Amino acid sequence: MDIVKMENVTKIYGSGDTRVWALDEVNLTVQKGEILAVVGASGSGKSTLLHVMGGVDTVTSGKVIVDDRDITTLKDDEMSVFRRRKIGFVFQSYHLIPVLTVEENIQMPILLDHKKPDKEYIDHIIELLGLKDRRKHLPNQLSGGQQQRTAIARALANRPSLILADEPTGALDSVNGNEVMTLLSDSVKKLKQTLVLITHNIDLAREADRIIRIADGKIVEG
Amino acid sequence: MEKYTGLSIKYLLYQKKRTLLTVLGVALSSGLLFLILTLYFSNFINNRDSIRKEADYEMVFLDATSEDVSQIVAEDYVRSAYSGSYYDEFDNTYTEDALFVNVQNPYRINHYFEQITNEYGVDGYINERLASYYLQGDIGNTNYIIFIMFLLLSFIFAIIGVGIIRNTIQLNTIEQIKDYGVMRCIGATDSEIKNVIFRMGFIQELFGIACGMIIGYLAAVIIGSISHIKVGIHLIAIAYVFVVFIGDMYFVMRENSKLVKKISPIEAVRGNLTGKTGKLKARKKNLFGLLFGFEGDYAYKSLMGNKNRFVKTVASLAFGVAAFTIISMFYMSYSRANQSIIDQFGEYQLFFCEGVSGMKDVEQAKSCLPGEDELELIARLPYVEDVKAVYTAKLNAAFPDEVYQHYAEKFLNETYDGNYIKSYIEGNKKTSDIQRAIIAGVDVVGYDEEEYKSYEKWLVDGTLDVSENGLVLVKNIKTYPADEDDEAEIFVTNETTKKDYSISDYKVGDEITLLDMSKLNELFKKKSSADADNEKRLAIYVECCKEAAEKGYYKTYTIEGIVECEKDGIYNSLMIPVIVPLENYKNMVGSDSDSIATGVKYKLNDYNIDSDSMQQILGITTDCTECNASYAIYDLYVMSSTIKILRYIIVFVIFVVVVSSLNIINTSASNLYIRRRELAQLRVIGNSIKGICRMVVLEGVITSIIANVIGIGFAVIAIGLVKNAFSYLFGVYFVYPVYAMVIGLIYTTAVLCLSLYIPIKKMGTDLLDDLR
Repeated sequence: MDIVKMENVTKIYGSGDTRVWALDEVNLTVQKGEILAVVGASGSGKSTLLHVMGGVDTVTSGKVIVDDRDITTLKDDEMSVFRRRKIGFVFQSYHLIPVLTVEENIQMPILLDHKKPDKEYIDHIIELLGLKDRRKHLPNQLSGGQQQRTAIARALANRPSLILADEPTGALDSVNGNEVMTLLSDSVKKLKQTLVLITHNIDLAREADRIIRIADGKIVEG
Repeated sequence: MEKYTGLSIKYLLYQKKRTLLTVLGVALSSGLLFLILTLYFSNFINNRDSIRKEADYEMVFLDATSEDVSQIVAEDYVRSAYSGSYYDEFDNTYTEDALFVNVQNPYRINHYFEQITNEYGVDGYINERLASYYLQGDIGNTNYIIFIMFLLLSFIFAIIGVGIIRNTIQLNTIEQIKDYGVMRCIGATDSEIKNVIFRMGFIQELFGIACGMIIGYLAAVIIGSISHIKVGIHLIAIAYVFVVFIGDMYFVMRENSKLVKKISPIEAVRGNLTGKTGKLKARKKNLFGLLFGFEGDYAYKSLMGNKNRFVKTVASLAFGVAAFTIISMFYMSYSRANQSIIDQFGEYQLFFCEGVSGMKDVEQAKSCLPGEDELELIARLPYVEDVKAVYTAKLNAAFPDEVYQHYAEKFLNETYDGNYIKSYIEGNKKTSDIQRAIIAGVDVVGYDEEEYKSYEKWLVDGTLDVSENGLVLVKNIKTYPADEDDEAEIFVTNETTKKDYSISDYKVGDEITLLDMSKLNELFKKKSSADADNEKRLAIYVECCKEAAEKGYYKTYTIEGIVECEKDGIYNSLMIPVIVPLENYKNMVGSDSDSIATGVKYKLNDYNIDSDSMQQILGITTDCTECNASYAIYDLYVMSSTIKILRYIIVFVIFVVVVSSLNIINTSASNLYIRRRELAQLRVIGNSIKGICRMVVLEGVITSIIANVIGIGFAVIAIGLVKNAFSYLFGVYFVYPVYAMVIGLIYTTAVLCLSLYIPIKKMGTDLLDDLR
């Protein structure tokens, strides 16, 4: 079953002579439960692909269907609600809220939806990601690896259909990077979620079910 | 040098809108300061010049010999000198051939006066009035203190004004921090960055001050032409504005340079503008979380995330709220006192009149009035808009008990005047019997057709169109309650504590039997002798009243209408107040002459009474029993001064409010700019723009609540501590400005929320750009 379906997606930045095709007629499907790694050189368009898929960037043309919903037609507020319920983001630079504790950061997407957090599930994620001793800590009291694990936990908190990770180990050393990647893929598998991952690290990419390579805004492999 | 200036100008042009806003902010605040200073100094110089016109000398020597005179005149420091007669108003003595001297530097009058008296052994005086305007002489110290206080107040003005620019320039710096980071990464030193920042500030400042001075001067000329102040350009005002603004600006720039240095070049390039935000603490769920849900909790934690910034915002807002509340206390207290003064006077605020009665005919009553010259002098005063004759008479009741039974219980029991009458009703002393008989009756005022018609708006029952024997009763009179707070009486000199009371329970259709005044007067003239003392005359008069009643010299009048009040407050007797048309009045006093007026009343325009004319009016002596000249003119003069104070207070309040609002708007905008990444993070995890607006607005609400609690709390405590002392000092009963507190709370919350809401709504939706 397709969780993501991109049809002839084009994304152009700039105008006139300075126009750049970040994505050029991209067609892509991602199966539910699949772990997909996107690789490519810098500026190839892989981050744009991820951002378009997560609805944080708009497309110039084409359709992006996530969980049977064409997100290119959603208004800003609708997109926000969709994102908080269906998509979890993990960034290279964590993007945690500095004034909130680990636990509060993780619960944030649920609270934004004005729902009561499922304590059992949150505890489960915290335990799964090895953050049990750190739940009352603020982000600046954590190591890089712990911060990224918190970001992963937050991405999983709302049981989203799709996890999008943009170089999640990019800011970590190899030991921490491997540990985080293992946790991320294990968690996704255990919770039966779908992961689209951008990485430069081919070893990490090999842990994915499928790898696609992007160059000049086009999928050239996979 | 040129590269820094060039770069600064490029940055300023790149942000044209903000540059213009900053220049406008500087122009307005420096313009206002320049306006105030120009008016103050112009007025100061005008006063000094007018004193010189009266008597152009700085010191006078009374016993200088001709040799001394020639030597004194030859001194370098003497600018001019002349001989003449000197009048000492304290000793009421004249000194012929006194030497009047002006020196080259009048700001050293004291020094030169001492030098001359010591060197030549002569006796003399400093012209204190003139010297005080050079901050010399004995009373010069007072002017000096006022001068210093004025400069200090102006300085506070300027500091508040610079606040606008402080924030705008800080916002500029924050927006360019990335560029500065790049410049630092490629080798620019801190002092080179500082150079650019300083130049940007100074360029905006200089333009703003120049524009401000032009605006301020033009405004001063306009205000001066209205207020009859000859406005000039004063170097001290120019220098003061420059020193205060540029001086303060220097510190603002230095602060900004520090801000740039605080963030490492690489953090600046990455766009992490928050710098070191102090030690973050994990916080438990707070009160605002309970009040506003998790968004309130987040908003509070977010505010506490940068405690320094929060404390600064709350402190400045609380200061503004406290200042606004305290200034409003002055405004509201003065307004209240002012209204109280206005209320006690009617349309014609000033009057001299003497009622005719059985004891006093028209000529006798007229003889009590001030001289015609004096009355004309008042009529010619520039602020006297209209003058009217007053017709007033006191008619005694044929049967006093009939009248006394109609005095209202409340009036008798609750007022000083009522208590007085009650004592007559119950009285058993001989004098009380006399008073009792004299007071029973009506105090009637006759009006010409035009004035009489104006009572239509106060008519509460019956008609004004009365028959020949008809009267219109005045329902309420203003009088002092018997249990008036003594403390208020002592403290408060500028406002009345009089209240409205219904004096009687007469209704339309009730009758009053009044003695025939002309016949009573004839009886009294026959029986009394000119050399009888007052007590004896009163006793004779009471006898005459009884005789007149026995002989049937009376007439019955019917109350045909009731009006709410008498419009000019002329009544001051304890008799029943009534009004009638002039024709009826003539019948009542038994004369058809047109010259039966026994008083004059003046309508004063806009209460613009000056000290000199107040003194003139206070100097008018009169034997009138119904005259309010001395207290009316004094009160109205006080009110006129109050209005001037209120105008200054309003300007100050507007200034504080505008500046505070601009400060809040700028600070909020800059804070939001710094937090773009944090807000983008919230959006990525699914918060909508609406949700973010809600959270940010909640931050405004929380800040406003805390600031208002502190600000209003401080103001209430401060007012509580000084209220009585201020009441005593200013002669105004000070009140808690409750409305101002509510308005302050609503206003600050609205400004704070809107200042957050509008920029966040306008903020670009480029999520990815904000995240980077």
